Amino acid sequence: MKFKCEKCQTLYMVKDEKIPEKGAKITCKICKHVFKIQKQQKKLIPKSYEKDTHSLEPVIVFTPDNQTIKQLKKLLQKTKLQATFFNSLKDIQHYLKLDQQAVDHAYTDVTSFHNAIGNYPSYVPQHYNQASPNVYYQNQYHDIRQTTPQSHSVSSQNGYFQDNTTSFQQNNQIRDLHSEHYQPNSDQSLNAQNEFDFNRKKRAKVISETIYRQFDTPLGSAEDGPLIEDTVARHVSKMKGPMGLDIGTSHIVIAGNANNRLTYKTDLNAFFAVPATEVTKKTLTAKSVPFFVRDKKIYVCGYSAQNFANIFNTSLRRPIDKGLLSPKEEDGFTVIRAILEKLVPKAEKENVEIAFTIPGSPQNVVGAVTYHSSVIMKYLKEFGYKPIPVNEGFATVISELADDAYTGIGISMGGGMCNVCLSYMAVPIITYSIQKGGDYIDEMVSKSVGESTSKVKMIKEEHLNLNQPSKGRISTAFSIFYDELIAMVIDSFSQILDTSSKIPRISKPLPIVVSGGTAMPEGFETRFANALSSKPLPLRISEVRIAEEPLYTTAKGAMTMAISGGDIYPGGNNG
Amino acid sequence: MDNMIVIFSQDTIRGNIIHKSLHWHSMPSKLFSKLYETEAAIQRLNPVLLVVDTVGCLSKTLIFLKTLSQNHPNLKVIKLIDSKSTSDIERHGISTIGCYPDPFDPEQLIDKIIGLVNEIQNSKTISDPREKIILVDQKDNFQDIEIPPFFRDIEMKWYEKIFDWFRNLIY
Repeated sequence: MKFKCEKCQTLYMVKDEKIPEKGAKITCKICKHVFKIQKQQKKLIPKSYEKDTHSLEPVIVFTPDNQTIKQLKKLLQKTKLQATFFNSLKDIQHYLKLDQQAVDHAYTDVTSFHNAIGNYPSYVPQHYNQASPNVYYQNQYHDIRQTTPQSHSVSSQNGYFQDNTTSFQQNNQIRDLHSEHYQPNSDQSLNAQNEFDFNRKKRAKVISETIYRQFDTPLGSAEDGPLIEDTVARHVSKMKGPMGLDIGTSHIVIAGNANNRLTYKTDLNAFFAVPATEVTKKTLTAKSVPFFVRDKKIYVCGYSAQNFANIFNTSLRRPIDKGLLSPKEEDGFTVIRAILEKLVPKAEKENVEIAFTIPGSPQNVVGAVTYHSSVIMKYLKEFGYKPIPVNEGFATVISELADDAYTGIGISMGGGMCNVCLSYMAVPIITYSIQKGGDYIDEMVSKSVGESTSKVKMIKEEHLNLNQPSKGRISTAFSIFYDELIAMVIDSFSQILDTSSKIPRISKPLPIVVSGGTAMPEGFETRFANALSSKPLPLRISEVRIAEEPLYTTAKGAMTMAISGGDIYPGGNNG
Repeated sequence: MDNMIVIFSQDTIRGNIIHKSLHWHSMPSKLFSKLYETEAAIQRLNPVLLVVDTVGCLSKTLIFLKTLSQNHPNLKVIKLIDSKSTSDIERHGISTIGCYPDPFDPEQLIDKIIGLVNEIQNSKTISDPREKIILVDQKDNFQDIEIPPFFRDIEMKWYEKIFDWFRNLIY
């Protein structure tokens, strides 16, 4: 279990077994502050689900397509709406206990099933019906409303099954998802309330399990999920063919093809190094932490480094600073190579394409990107690949603006820098970067309000909503520095458009698409659009939108580039 | 290949914009950044149209265009020029017809190229020159809009010109 000192915010880690049921008093080693901690119930639900519990309404979603389930999950995760997903009609009815109830009517497919529920669209795609196991459900019917207790109001709107939210709020103990006492076939004697709670408990469990089975650990919440390196190793080994690699300041993302599905894997682009001793080696081996030894130093990289840095009383270091290989880090070379070795599988055959993102040249800095891209390229060649560099902003365009003939403005706002690309017909006309990004915002907010960077970062990732009026000093500071960064991007772009002679005459309005973790807080889109309206560009803008998967957009774009062999054509089959 | 268009541009951005825009409109094209490659491609591919971007390399392209007019008098050429270099082109005895001065407007240029290629296709399919004249009559302002005079003069053969002359006398 991890906990922080209430006074100095120092992060500690202790085994759950060591904390008694009643809690324990802890004295902070740094500030000597004494505070009490309670045994924490294990959580399997990602943090985003914990927010605004009172506003959550469980929803059941059925679709036979696993890809649709993935997409819906991501969408619903953003909207804080809890949902249980089923890809089989059999499972959903077993879950709702319809198969155990009295049968009044028969329904054999999805259409009749929904007709029984009522208020459902009359049209259901044919393949959905085909996916249902018809035989199993013959002569079985029970109104879905009857599965919930009468004391709770149930609404069935537009095909969604909704539980009573008040009760949901009152029963937060259902989040003890490790409870295995529930037996689906032995709860008939329970009263309606208990049945309702169990249903919900089961539903919550289903959600958590599917998420961790299907998904990579969400960035920034690695402690809740399985060790990322396990997930990465398992999935990457299945990846085949051309791949896309996004080497960012804070994370490295690889996009590849696994079983004909686009799969993303991530790792933290950070490390720590400690002197090589036998004790340290044994500790890391016992904890199954991957490490390597070089020049009498032990290096731990990626998410493992984040999880174990505190144990070794050291801080995380980054091999990349402001989007480029850090000149301050002597070990940066070694670490980048080690992380790449861990993430990128050996090439199946010689010269398989791998496209990797490079930042645009920072304004007023010459030659910085050449060194960065050459080093990465060298490593990838050593792994047996044919490396193709692709600008980060252009990768955003490739990923998001295929329907616009790759014409528009792609902005990738990452941790270390903001990359901008104006593309016309898949030709990157202007590419540049600003060496400021999410880290700059965190640092400035941290300095302004006197809180630690890790704390303000956590608030940004979990609670920041730029749509809402700023209440506290932290959210006000975030609002100010977000506005500043957006203004910087727009001003610099406007300035470059004015001075550049490369820009053709473009009559049609162009879309702007923003990707990257910095663009993820709610309301960012509106904030950007508002800033743009007050500082108009010399080009007409049709819309401002956030990329579909902001954290993975550039990796996806790079992968598309790799599949197309290094050149993208509008309207062409680019993979 | 039918309707092949050869593009020469030392500016990769401008060249690629034309090349990829033509691809978007399903028009086959080849892009070259060196004159000797372009010349070889003209020999090899027998294109219907050549697009030459003279911006940034005017002196070399002027010599190239002069040679081209002698070796391939029937090849239609579109020249992208810097607005200041019109006088230089005229001084070298190269026609300014078919020139598109800066600012670079890809949409307008592509429209022109597509229109021109379509006209070439039509002229190929219509073998009887009298039919061609009828076709010209059917279109309003055809000669002003669709085909620049530069190309019209090259395209019309002696008997076509006589037909045209007769037509003007009669009407």
